[in-house]
Amino acid sequence: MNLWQLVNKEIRFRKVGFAIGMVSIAVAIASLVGSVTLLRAYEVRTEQILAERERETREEMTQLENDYRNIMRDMGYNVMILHEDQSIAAMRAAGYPEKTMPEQYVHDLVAGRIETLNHLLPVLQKKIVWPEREMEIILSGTPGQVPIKHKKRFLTADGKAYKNPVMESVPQGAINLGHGVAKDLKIREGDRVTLLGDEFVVHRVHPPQGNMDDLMVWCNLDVAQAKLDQPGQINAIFALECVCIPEELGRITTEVRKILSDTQVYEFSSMIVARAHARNRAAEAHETAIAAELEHREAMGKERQAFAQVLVPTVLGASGLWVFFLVLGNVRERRNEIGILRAIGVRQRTIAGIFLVKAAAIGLFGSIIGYILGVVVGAVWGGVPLLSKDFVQLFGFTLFLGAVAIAVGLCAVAGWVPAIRAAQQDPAAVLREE
Amino acid sequence: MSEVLALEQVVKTYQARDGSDVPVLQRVSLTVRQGEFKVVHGSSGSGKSTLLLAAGGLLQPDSGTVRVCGQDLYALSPEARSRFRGERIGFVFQQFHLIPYLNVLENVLAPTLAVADTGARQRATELIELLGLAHRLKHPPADLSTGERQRVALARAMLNQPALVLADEPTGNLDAANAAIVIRHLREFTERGGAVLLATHDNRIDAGERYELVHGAVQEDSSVASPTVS
Repeated sequence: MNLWQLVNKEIRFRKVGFAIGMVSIAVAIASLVGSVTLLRAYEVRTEQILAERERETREEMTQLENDYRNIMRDMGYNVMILHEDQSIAAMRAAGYPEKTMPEQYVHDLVAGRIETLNHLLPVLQKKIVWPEREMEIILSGTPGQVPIKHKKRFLTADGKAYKNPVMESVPQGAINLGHGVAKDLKIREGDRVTLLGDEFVVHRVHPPQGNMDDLMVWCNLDVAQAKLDQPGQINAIFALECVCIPEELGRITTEVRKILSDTQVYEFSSMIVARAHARNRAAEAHETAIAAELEHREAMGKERQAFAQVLVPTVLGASGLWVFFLVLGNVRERRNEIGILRAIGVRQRTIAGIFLVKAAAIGLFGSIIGYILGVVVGAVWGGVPLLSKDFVQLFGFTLFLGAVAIAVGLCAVAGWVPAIRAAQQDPAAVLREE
Repeated sequence: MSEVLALEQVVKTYQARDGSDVPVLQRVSLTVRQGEFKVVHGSSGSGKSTLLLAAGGLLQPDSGTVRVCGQDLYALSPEARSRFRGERIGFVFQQFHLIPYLNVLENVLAPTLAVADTGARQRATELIELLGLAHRLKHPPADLSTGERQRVALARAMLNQPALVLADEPTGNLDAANAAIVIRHLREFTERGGAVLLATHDNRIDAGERYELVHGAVQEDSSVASPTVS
């Protein structure tokens, strides 16, 4: 017979008392574990919500990015390479650059293997009056995109053309019309028109752009050079999709001017920057919303924490008191037993141990039940579905050990005084009573 | 025969609730040697239980000495005295004081809580058989008759092979037949070299060395040769 066997037998004999003590501790530990779990579940939910918000933001940003790229593609150009003497103000006033430069420049750029340039579109533009129609237009001649040989990923297998050209070249004997020109002159695709003495087929009418493009008439560069009497000349090279962020403009300028020293690089559309800023503002708005959500949830979490800080010690204290009275009652109930155990030589510390071990057992089993109960209640209350992956994550070994340690410690403290009282009980006083 | 228990000039006085002194043991001197069975006879309140508790190291007298196997009990620390008691002294009480949630075997083994002994289980089984309780081995005290309960208490007292058994009214709740069984076993214990000091008010018990406890003082009465129940 040893102390553990004696305690085990006694617990089985007085099941109700033990169960009451265990339930009391289970409730206390459940309130502790439940509070911690609830806060943890709340954090899990917060993380889920934030992850959801971030995912939404990412999706929205991706959408914005796509929109941005589409806009860029629709607009066609990122930067323009102009003659260095070209006045920007004059260009804006005229609607096109007036200063010309050799067409060879575009081939020099291709040969220069500049990495930041992906698509090059040389143009020769000039505002003229369409004599046959008596309408002011901008005649824009282009050979289409000039293949940059080392940018193989953009090119067809033979390396002679772009797989997906930003602007298709105008076929020989054809012209393309801006929407405004076609509308005013009531010209449709397929119509045959005369321009500067020659007949052309209208290959395409561009959709409305809301800018100078609506007033353009596009033809092959050779045609434009001939009609405008500027053989071998261009007045701009549009460098398409060459930069993704405006901040890289300086780098492109440096690289271009190394090859074409008498040129300037002009970032021609402030809409690009505006779009980028809009995108940044959208991102900032999302970040602000997420921060507000986080702040709100943190505030609520703190409220719950404050509540738990009052509730848990109160319940633990009440349970400790309850265990104290239970053990005290047990000591009184077992007065004769203590007397005879002392008479047969059982030492005082063993007597105290009997009650302390029993109190600790109440704490141990009560804490296990309370832990499971607390996690379940905390999860349900915290909105975490039972048996879900998040629910499983709420079970923490450290919390379990902590709960057991607190419960066993609490019961040991609560049982200490009654146990000492039992140990100090005078056996003679009991045995003499009979 | 060597001296097992020796009380010398033992005095014990209780204090009544009104503060007055109630003398219970007045300069009691008594010796029990190995193989002896001594009976202290006295009416209720004569101090019999106090005498046995003092002799067993459970109640310190106001003065005088108590020696068991030559050891002055009250010179020992409480813890050492407990251990000494567990090894050398067995107690039998009128109310049996069996532990209700332990079965017969476990009750008999209860002293191993104080003194661990690997041979205890074997001895407990033998004692239970000797006392005619083999068929009750796994029964709780509630299932036993009073006579059986007292035999269990007796087996428990004898488990650690004590030098001395102190029996306080061991037949007080028993019928004549059961009382005779208990006395017989105690007598057999003395025949095996143990010593017994029995306190009773039961006139049925005739003992060879019988003492009367009158007003806390012991008077010898050697009218009976050996302890029996008449």
